[in-house]
Amino acid sequence: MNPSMSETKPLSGLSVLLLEDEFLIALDAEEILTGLGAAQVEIVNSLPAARDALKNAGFHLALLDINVNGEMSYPVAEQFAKENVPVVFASGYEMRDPPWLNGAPVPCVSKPYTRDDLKSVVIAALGRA
Amino acid sequence: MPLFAEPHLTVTSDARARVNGQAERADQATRRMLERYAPAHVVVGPDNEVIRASTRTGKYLELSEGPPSTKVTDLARRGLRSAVRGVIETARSTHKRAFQREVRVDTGDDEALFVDVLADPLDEVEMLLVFQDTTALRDGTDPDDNAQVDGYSGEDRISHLEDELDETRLRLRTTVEELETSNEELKSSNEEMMSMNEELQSTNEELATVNEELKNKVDQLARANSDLHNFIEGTQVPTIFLDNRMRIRTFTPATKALFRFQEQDRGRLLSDVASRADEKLIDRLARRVLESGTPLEEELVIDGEERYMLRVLPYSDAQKETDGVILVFSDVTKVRQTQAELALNVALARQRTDEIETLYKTAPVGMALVDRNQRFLKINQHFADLTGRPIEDHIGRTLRDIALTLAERMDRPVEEVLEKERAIVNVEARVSVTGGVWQDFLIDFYPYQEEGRTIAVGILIKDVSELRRLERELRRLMGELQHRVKNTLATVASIVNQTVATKDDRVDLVETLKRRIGALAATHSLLTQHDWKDASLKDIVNTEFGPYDRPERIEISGPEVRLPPKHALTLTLTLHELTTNAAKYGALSAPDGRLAVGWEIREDGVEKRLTIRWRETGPRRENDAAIREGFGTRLIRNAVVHDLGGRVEHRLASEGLQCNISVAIP
Repeated sequence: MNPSMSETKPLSGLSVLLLEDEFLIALDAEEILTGLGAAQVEIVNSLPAARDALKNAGFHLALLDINVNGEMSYPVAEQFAKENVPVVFASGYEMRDPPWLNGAPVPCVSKPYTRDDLKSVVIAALGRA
Repeated sequence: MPLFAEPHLTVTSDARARVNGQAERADQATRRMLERYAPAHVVVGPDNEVIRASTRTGKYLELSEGPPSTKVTDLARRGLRSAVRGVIETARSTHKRAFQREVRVDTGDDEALFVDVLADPLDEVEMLLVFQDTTALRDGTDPDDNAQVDGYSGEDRISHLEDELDETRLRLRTTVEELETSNEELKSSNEEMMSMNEELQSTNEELATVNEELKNKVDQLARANSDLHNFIEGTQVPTIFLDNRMRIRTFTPATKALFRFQEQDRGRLLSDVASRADEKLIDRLARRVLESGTPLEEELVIDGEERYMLRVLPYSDAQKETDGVILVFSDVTKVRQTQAELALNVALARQRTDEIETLYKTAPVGMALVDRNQRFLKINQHFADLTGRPIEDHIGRTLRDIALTLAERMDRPVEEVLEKERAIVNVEARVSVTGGVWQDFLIDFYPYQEEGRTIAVGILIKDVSELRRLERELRRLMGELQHRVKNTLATVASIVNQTVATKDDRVDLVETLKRRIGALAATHSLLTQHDWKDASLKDIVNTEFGPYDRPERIEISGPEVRLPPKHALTLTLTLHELTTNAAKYGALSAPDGRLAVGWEIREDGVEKRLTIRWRETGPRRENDAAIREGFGTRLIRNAVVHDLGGRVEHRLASEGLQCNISVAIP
């Protein structure tokens, strides 16, 4: 983790994996993440692509859409957690009972989200890691 | 002497009478002399019985104790008896006079009497016995001791007396025995009398009882008679008693509803009395019963609406002989009405029952009735279908016997209903009844009561598997919808963000936003028309080109292709940006520009691939770099790739813009 992370740019210099199957949403999310200081945002549109990405590069954060082309992304989230990559879920569902990873509930952000929404969960996720 | 004087007075009357009178006087004198002066005497018969006695014999004879005897030997006073017997025997044996002098007789006083006894046989049978008192002579002269003519010695007397004593003793004994016998007889007579008395007494008591019973009978009879009278007067049943000649014997007051009876009608012929009923018919029936002796029944209709049941019974007298008839009328008007109503109600009830039964059979609900031991009392076909066995298999067997898995869910509620007598409804159960598919059931349990006691439990079971499936589907769809709506909103938010970043002019910004979002909305509509399953590519294209003059400038060609939602939406956005660009800078921006959109489907066994060819002609542009790297271009070149894994070739050729889009479709 970058110790120089400012309050307004929690992702300064960090590499983020973005799992989102909708191009326009991914476009928006990418801009927000970049705005939060992310040095690199890798966008993947499927669960296998996300797994491949995990193998190749070291990410500091994963922003995962829960429902990707009708499939749930929990198994992928577990794999990221296993690699100690903090995970944030983005979902269209109301997450009344968020899934747990590494003994704590996974921070969730509900679509559509604003920059501030995403920022607070990103901070929460990075803070736990 | 007056005895002599009297005849003198009578003699003077007549001479002849005087002669006779002299003879009579002589007899009279003899009689008088015999009566007054002759010694006492008696004449005895052969058995010594006294035939005749003179006066003054009392001094010598007396009645002895015991049964009276006429024998002189029994009658003679004590001391005289042996003398009497002696002289009589002597006289009889000798046929001569015999006598005994100075027999001493105890009179009971101090003085003794001395008597001479003389027996003189009169003939063969009778004998005169004379008693001469010699006491006075003896006292004067005292010659007796020596003057015994027959020479009776002292020893003779003693032996005589001893004989007499023996005889007396014998008689005494006899008498005593007789007395004892008599006494015995008396005693037994007395006992007989006593027992007879007792019998009499018991007979008397019986008679009293019989009397009492008779009195009771009489009372009962009187009561019965009174009851009968009251019954006849008080009964509401019209009844007429006729004798064997059809004459009225009696009738109850209630008959006046049918007959105009007067009290004086008793004894008249029934047919003579005015009636509302058909008298001829009644008369005919009565005669028939009188002849046959068997009862008859006939329903009479009176005045068209009242109905009477006439019962004609033979009237039997005490000898069981038919001696008339009894006519009993029962007003059955109301009964008949009630019967008619009842028949109607029965028909209605049957109809209802049939309806219920039909409902029971055809309702798409399993129905069953189980008793306290959970044995089936009743079950309908639908329930039987659940267990897969015929209805008859269930009756009398328990739920557990038939369907264990169902029973496991129903045991407890059934027991609870029996215990609390309260219905339990909407019990959910997910059961695999026959070991196959799982089914969802909704079960209701109702107490079935008879006479206030819960004797069975009614079970209603509904298969709600389909309902549950639909519910799950609905929940899934709700989730799906939420996901989609949120994604759509996120997409719109992204469009807004991207558009805002590229447009400085507010009007242009709003118009651009409206068109982009509008394109998305149009495809949403197309998808919704087909339950969000798919949309036609042609429809999407046509909708996109809607605002433009097409026939001469736009050529659309391609087979019918149905696109799934994501394909439809991404292609919509892509085609929209292509169209927008064409309208701004390309074929649709100049009057001579032409646009051809064509597509084809190719299948190679592995996948089905759609290829869309976008061809613009005129106006000409300088080069490929003239394509503005704005949001629209980014979208055209990346959306299909990212969202659908497709390929996009987007370039400016010499004749105009060309774009090839290729995606796999399911």
